[in-house]
Amino acid sequence: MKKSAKPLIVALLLMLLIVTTLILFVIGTRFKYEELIREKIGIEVELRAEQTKRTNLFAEYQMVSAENIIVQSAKQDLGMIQDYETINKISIEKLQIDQLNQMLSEKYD
Amino acid sequence: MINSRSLIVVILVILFFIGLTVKLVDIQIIKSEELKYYAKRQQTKLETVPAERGLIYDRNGVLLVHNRNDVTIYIDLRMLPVKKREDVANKFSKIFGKSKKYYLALLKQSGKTICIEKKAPQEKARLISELKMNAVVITEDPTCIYQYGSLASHVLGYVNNEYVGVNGIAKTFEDELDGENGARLVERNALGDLITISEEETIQPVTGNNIVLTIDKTFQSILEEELRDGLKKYKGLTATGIIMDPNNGEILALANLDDYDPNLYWKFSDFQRRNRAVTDTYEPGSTFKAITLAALLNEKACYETEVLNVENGTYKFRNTFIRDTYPNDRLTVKEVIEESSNIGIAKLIQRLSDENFYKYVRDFGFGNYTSITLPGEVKGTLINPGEWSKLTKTFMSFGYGLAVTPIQLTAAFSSLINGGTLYKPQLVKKQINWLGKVVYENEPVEIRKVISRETSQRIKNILKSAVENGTGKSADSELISVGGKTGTSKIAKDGGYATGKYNSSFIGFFPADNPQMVCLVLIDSPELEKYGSKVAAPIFKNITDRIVQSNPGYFFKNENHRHKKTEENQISEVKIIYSENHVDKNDEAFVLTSNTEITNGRMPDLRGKTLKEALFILNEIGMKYNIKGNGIVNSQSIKPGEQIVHNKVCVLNCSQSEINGANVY
Repeated sequence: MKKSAKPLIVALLLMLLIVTTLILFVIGTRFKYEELIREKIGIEVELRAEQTKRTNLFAEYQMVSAENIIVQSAKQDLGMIQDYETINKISIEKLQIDQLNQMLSEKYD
Repeated sequence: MINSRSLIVVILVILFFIGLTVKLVDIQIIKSEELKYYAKRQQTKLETVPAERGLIYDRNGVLLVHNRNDVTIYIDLRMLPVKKREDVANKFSKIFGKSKKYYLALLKQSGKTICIEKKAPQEKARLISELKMNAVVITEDPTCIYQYGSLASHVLGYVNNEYVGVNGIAKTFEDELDGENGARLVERNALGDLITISEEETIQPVTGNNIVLTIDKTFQSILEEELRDGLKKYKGLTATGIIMDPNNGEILALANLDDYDPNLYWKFSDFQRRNRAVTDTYEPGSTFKAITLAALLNEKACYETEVLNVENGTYKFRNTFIRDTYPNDRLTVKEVIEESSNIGIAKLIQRLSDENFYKYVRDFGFGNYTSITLPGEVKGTLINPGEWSKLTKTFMSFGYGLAVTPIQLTAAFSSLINGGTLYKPQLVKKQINWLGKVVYENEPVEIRKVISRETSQRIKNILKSAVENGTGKSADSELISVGGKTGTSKIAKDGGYATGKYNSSFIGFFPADNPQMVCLVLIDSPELEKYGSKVAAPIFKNITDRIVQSNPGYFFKNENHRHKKTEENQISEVKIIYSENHVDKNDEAFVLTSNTEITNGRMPDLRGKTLKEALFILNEIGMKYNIKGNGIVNSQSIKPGEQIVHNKVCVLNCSQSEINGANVY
């Protein structure tokens, strides 16, 4: 009995130690997993907030960089005037332009 | 002895483990389902993950509506001891910048849970959550942001407290914009802190589709600004304006004034929030004469040069007097439209049967929904010919006895000048999902062919003439050719007409030869003037001019557009634009940038111009020339402003020099 009981106790204690270690490991892993999940949720929320912020900034950028805003600012803040009231647009067929170019070229040649 | 004791210990340990195993088996296997159920019920909760709402863009990708991830913060008073209230109030006061008193007053309220901050920015909410206060509950409460305030408010609609679309596109496309909410199984501890989330039982939310409208933000701004100015200038009650592409039914701008700011929708009345362009009707008056004449021309019941007796402005028809604003003895059919003669059109319509005229009016879309994707549309009033009195057709010919919505009239008018096809008015160009994939793209919807291409061309010419020579003169633009028709109609009230109250309107199109836009301007009850020619037409002109100036390429890219009245205008910039059919559109010949006058028979100032520019001008006016030197023109032998004498030669002295860039602003 004396010779056979000791190894059994040691074996049992060892087994107990292994089981306990495994349980602790599982619990530890689970805690870590839960922590990572929480972190992931937090990061997802932050990501969404950043995406929304980016969209908001894009909208702001479009608003301040719109042509009418720049023109308004140029007129009101810088006192510039828009010289479009007498713009005249004349369309000419390409053939006519070619003839004109040819005429000019001949004159210079 | 030692062995016996060891054996006892071993046996006890084994028994203990056996007991433990039995209990474990009981918990984990036998009562597993029951206990799992109770545990789940206590600790876990199925939470909704709200989907992000889709965005709304204009046709050029300008973001009009977007979202902000705001939060609402609640305090569970049961979990907040009275002595800690001051501390909480202090912390909130520091973060949100409101007084401590304000928060203390809120915390003194009765009830289990109180809302302490509504629609707070997420950054501030994060600061609150970092303080780890047990009683604080933070929930997502997103906000829709209308970037340009009241701009296009009647088209966009608004989102209410429950984040549900009300009015406009927000309502019609609620399902598409809203997306699909997700869900997740969340495990929380007794304090409400998150323990974990079951990944297997998580359904990801699907973000709503983004909507690209046919609206052009620039045109919309111009329309609203000009309507606002016009309303103020003529002291009108309300104004409505629509700009439509007649070739596909796309609405480029739609506005009603008064309007509202969708960000603060609760501050405005139902009237201000109503999209009167689709929900309200009016008698169109003389603008309807174009519709009547189209029916007559299409039926070959008259022709443009036919002369009519218009009775010097007063005509007794079936015991009722019909009067013209501008009395005339005789007018051609074309002049009937130019002068807006009620008598002329009333006489002409007698050539069509009631049924035939009704058929045309109906075919143009009156008395029916346009099926525009906006809520609350009405179909107007168009009486069945069986119920017509002896005067109905006659009065209908000049726009009385029927009620139309502004959108109906704009769509019908578009069909008049686009070759005769009635298109469904469209507001949505496409829908894009959150992955950027186009899920739906609108194509033009042809409803029916109402009149022939030839009739359409004839009507277009008549309407162009109505602006050049008729009542629509004040709508004429120096920048682009315009066609259109004025309208002045009494306002129906209590079964009769309101005294001294008129609807002044103008509906026109440009460029006249190849219409790209139809624009309706309707001013309700202007106090200073009543006629469409005096009120709505000048507003139309301002809108047209600004639109052309803002985006000339829009009109000139598809046609070889020749500017009218060239000789009358001072030229400061001559831009050579030619047809896309001939050359690449970017292949511009050259641009003259300094002031040059080509006045009637007068010599232009060529000094400071490049030789090429000067020669272009001289060739334009047909003058012979002689060149000395090269580069920039320093002087000219015929002085600027001098009368041009035939066959006289102009000597240009040139030298090389640098041209500084011209200031545009």
